Amino acid sequence: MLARNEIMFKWLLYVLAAVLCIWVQTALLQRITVWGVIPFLYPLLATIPATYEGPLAGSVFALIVGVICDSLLPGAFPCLYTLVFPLAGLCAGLLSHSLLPAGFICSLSAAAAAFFLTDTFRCFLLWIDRKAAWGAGFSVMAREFLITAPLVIPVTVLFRAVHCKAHEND
Amino acid sequence: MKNFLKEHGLWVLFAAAVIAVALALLSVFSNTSSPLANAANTIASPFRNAYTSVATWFNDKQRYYKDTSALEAENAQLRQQLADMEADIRQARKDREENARLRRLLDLREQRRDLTSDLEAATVTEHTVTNWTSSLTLNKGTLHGVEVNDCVMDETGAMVGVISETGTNWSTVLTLVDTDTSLGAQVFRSGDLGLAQGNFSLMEKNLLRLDYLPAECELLGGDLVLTSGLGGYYPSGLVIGSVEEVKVDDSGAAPYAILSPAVDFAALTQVFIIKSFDIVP
Repeated sequence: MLARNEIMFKWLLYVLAAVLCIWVQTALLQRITVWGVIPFLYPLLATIPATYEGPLAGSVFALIVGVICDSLLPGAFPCLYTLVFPLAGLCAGLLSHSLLPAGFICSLSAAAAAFFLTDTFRCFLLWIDRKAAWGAGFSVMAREFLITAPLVIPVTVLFRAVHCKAHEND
Repeated sequence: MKNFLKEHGLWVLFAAAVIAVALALLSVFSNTSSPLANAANTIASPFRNAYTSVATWFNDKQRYYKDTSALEAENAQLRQQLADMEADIRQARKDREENARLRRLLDLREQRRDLTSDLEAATVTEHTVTNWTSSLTLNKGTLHGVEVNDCVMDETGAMVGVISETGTNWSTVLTLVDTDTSLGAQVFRSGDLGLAQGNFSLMEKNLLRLDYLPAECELLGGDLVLTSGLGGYYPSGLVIGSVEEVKVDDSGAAPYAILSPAVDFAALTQVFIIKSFDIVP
């Protein structure tokens, strides 16, 4: 059981790791286009910490990541990430608690779920707006996931390091 | 020795005088140097040559060192001068491009009386940031009077998009091909009206659709499409793009066109925000 200041320190480290990833995304990744899409790290930030910290804490962290994404990224629907990322975080937390132990495979599965939820929701919004593009939407989702998947490794290593550092006295 | 001088001194003196006189006479009547001088100099000449060679070598070395140092200094100065001139050339090229843009804009203002002088030049600071939107971030915001729904065009009068979000010193433009953009449009040749709107399936190819065309319209590939200005939301006559292909929707009754925007969004560096305009009847 962590003391209060240790809990605060742990989440501070998680926030710093997330800020580092956001910096990499804005400074580097969004200038790279592969197969017509840019790598998209934000769903990984919403899910990978949740695989280590469980459904509840993970969902809250994913909610914060969602709010940051909605603030930073343009889009017609103003709270898309705020709505979807906590759900993705919850799924990731449940996945690591019941099916797969936290690690690369679990992170990859959770990231796939996050991309599926986020992009399906986008397609749903387009459909509501009578601009349905399910085929093009799923094509973008698949390419987006495939080019982001290799980045699951460094992001998992980063958040696992934070988790190990925070729980080294347990 | 004393005895020798006592006995033969007079003779030695005499012989010396005779030799001196003979040498003097030879030097007077000879065209070349005297034999004594000649002999002395002939003997001294190789030594002199050697001294001169050594001195020349030292002088050369000294001059070489001086020249090298001077050349190095000059080279450094020239490199600096070259770097300065290259920077000037780059700046001049940039200024020339900006000048050309502003000249085109000036021409456009003269042609288009409805575009008041309320234009704000802005630099594109960021291109598309997600795979689901087509947007640009500009370096001008509310501080410069930019508002949501202001139109953005390039220096040729081609439409870029519409401001969707604005902050103190930044704003986001959704480009023509974004799914949330829709504008009243008119085909320049035929006058047919329609609605130009982004479509997600076409966004990746940088294309957009022209919908709600009259059933009897006869569009041709390459037809120019402009903003209609209907409703007064956006100025009329801004170039949206040209017709790429004409199709009929799934019902088989409604024709629509695929448009190619006049602007290359990826290459944009500077745009102009239309903060206000006059409605021309």
